Amino acid sequence: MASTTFTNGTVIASTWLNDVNTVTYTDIPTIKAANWVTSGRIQAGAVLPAKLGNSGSELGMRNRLINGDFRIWQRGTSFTNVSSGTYTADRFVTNSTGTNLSITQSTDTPSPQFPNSLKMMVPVGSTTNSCLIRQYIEQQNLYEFAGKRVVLTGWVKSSQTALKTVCSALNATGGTAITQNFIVTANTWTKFNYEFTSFGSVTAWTGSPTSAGCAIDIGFSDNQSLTTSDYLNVTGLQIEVGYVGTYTPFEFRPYGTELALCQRYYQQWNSNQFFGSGVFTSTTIAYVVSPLGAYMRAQPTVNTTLANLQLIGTSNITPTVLNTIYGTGSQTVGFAFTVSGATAGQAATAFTNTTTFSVSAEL
Amino acid sequence: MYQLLSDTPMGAANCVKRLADNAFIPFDEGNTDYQAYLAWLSEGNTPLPAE
Repeated sequence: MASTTFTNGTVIASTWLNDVNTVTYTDIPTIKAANWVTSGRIQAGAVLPAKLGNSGSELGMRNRLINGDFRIWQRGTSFTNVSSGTYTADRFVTNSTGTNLSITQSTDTPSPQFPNSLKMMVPVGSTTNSCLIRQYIEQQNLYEFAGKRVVLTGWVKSSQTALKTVCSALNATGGTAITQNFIVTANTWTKFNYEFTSFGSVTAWTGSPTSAGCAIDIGFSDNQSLTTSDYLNVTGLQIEVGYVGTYTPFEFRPYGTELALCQRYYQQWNSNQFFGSGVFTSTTIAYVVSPLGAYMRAQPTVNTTLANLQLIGTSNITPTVLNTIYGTGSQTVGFAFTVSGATAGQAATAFTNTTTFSVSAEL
Repeated sequence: MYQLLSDTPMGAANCVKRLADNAFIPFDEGNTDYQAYLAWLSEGNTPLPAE
């Protein structure tokens, strides 16, 4: 509780709420009459704007991790006993040795600001070498990291107290991988922030702009004895240029923006959806063009079950081979399918029917 | 293990099938699945011919 005294001697009750002195402005008409400046001019250069602590990185789009609050799970929300290298929540891939992992979308979070977290468990109890979840960051999205320190922030809750995070500079001359082991209170949401110098000595980028420039890992510390009841929840992950003392709050981006960022790397059509249209150019070939939510990073890998797809003309035709994938750096991707029994010249509408159709250009 | 795909009247197939999950991988050097395929080839492996 605090109070504010104005120059005319009027004392107005006020309260402290979330570190902000909230004033009750019931007496404003009186104050205005006595003290308010109603006109004037400020000398040029007399007022200097506040300096931004991170040279501007507090501004928008500063978090270079995508889906750091785990809202987007295009592939599904539960992955049981998956091997290392399996993509789960959008942009996040398992990175384990000595064990598989089980990953689920969780609603156990530190606050309602984060509706979701990623929960990692081991399907079989064992002493594991490494249990991590990883995100690669595209190089052309982090050029400004060169020569600077970066800060990784986030929230974790785990049955284990020993956790670790790794920041690795990739395809960068002078870049390094730095590991930060840390201790948390078991079964309690804890916010962490760690400064990394992985890019501090980077003098040049050696990969293509669309290659990986960084990998961020977080998980259990190495070589722990884990049981099937051990878990790690994580959310609110953010990496930005700066120091521990200058990291900024988590950047909440609109869902559509975050989804589009994810779709540069992965897009999925679920069952019973139309995913493109085209033409049967002969009795044995169909060309189909699919619209994309974003320019993909590279020509995508296609995952589907051809036997469950339908190319709809005057009849439903099941393709037998996907021969060619067209398009990169485009908002569409094209396909040439081998079919049989089609009528040349008929339109072909591509339908997922009972399967899914996904395109992946992950790093 | 991988399998080559048949050509079309419009030209040669530009992707290969990964048999482990039936994924179709385009011949794009920026595609990390294709990079893995090239590494697999460099180890002396040979894909199955097209059906």
